Amino acid sequence: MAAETGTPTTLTLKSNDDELFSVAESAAILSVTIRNMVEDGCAGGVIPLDNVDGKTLASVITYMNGISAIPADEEKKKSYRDKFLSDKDFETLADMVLAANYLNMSCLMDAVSAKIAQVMEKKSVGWVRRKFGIENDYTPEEEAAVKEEHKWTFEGVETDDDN
Amino acid sequence: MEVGFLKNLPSEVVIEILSRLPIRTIGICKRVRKSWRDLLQTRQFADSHLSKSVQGLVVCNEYLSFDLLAFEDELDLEDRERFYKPIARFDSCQLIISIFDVKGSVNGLLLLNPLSSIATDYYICNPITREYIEFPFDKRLIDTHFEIINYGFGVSRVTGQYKVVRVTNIRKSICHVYTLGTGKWRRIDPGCDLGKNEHSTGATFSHLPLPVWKRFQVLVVLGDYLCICDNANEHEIAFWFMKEYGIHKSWTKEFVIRKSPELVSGYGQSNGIVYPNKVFEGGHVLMTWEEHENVHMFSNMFYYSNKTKTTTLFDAYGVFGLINIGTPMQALLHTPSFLSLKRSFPKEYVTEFSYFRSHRKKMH
Repeated sequence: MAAETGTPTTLTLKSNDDELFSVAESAAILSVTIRNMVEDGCAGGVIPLDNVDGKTLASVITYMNGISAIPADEEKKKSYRDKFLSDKDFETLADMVLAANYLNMSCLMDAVSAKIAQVMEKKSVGWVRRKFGIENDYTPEEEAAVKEEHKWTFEGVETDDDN
Repeated sequence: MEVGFLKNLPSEVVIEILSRLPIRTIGICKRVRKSWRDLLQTRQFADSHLSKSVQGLVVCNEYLSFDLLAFEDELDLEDRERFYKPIARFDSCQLIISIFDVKGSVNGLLLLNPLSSIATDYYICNPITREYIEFPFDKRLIDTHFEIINYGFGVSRVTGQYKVVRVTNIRKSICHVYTLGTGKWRRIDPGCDLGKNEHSTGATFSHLPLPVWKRFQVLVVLGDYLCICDNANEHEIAFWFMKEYGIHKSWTKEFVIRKSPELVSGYGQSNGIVYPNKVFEGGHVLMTWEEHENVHMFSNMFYYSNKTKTTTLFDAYGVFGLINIGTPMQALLHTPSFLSLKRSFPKEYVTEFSYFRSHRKKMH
């Protein structure tokens, strides 16, 4: 259809805080979740994305447009992804990994997971807990035992203290 | 963002992130929360981590201590300072026996064969989860010391089972297979379906046609191919690849490395054997040079750069801070993994050795 009329099909996506976004179907179907809805014919009106907020969705759409504009060249795609993620803070990355998971976008999922892992590298237990908003549920004795289990690994005297 | 939001990350997302971390950081993550520790012990996590891992090496020194070495980039070792680093070490005494031979390595698990004459068990060890399994020789397997025994350790592509293959050659080849978790050795006859055996492509136990077979040749698996490394020539080492598995005509002389002075000086030329460990993209080769002199064995690792056509010492000893250069050493490709023996093989006798500390000096 798009090919016949010369104008690309546009989809309307709705975030969970009721923001509406227009995006080219060709870019949006990078999301398997959205592609399935399109193929099932559920994409007639507005596509509600209940697990993604407006801020994150805007970011994801920027990514969709950016990456789909690059022809099949893995090197270029990779450098686009690196640049796209380079200025994102931890909280934004966390929102994006959840969105990528919900939208079933493997390329974004891989890139964001790798970026988060890169940020976590060489960080202390305390840092990880704070950033992930996790409460420690070990007793001090239990934690000492788990710590002991991994004492044999090389490298990393760095921030091994608990905070 | 709501505080505490992230602890509700679905487990598949947590696995996706944590499986990309270096091993040391994964150890730290175990301490974050009990649910993370449990997640990091699952098969899903181990599989996800393995699928993203780059093959490294396990280096065994003097049959006593084992070092795991990671390559950060499997393509090239040109900038060697940057691309490899030590991961972990364990000593044979941690497994309460004297000395070992490493006979196989798959998915982070090592097949170890005790060299003691009174030993009656084989060992499967995961140096990362600090677990090992002992399983006994079958009585039928104990035999003379004059036979040549070859071992294989692999995973069946069909069933996912881990199998140890033991081929004894006296007048004919006799093959026994131990499937981890079954507690039993089975005898396999030529032509019989193994599932998957010694080399990663094989499906049956059969005799393979080899090119002209001489002394000083070693047969190894390199990448996707069976490879013969021919050391017989005085000046060069030839690498033959079986391009199509099982097809005799497909043996191809893939490339040749000149025996550089470094490889031979001080050793004499004729007695050494080169075992290739890994061929990198671009034809660079990491290899072990093994020299027998009377009853002594010396070895070193070398790196051949296909770019500069030169062979240089790969200072595995330096990497691990060892001093006994030239002592017996074995190297095998090894991908460190979090595959839990206890969970994967509940029927086997699994021992943990995490609380035993290595007596060796720590790397600086």
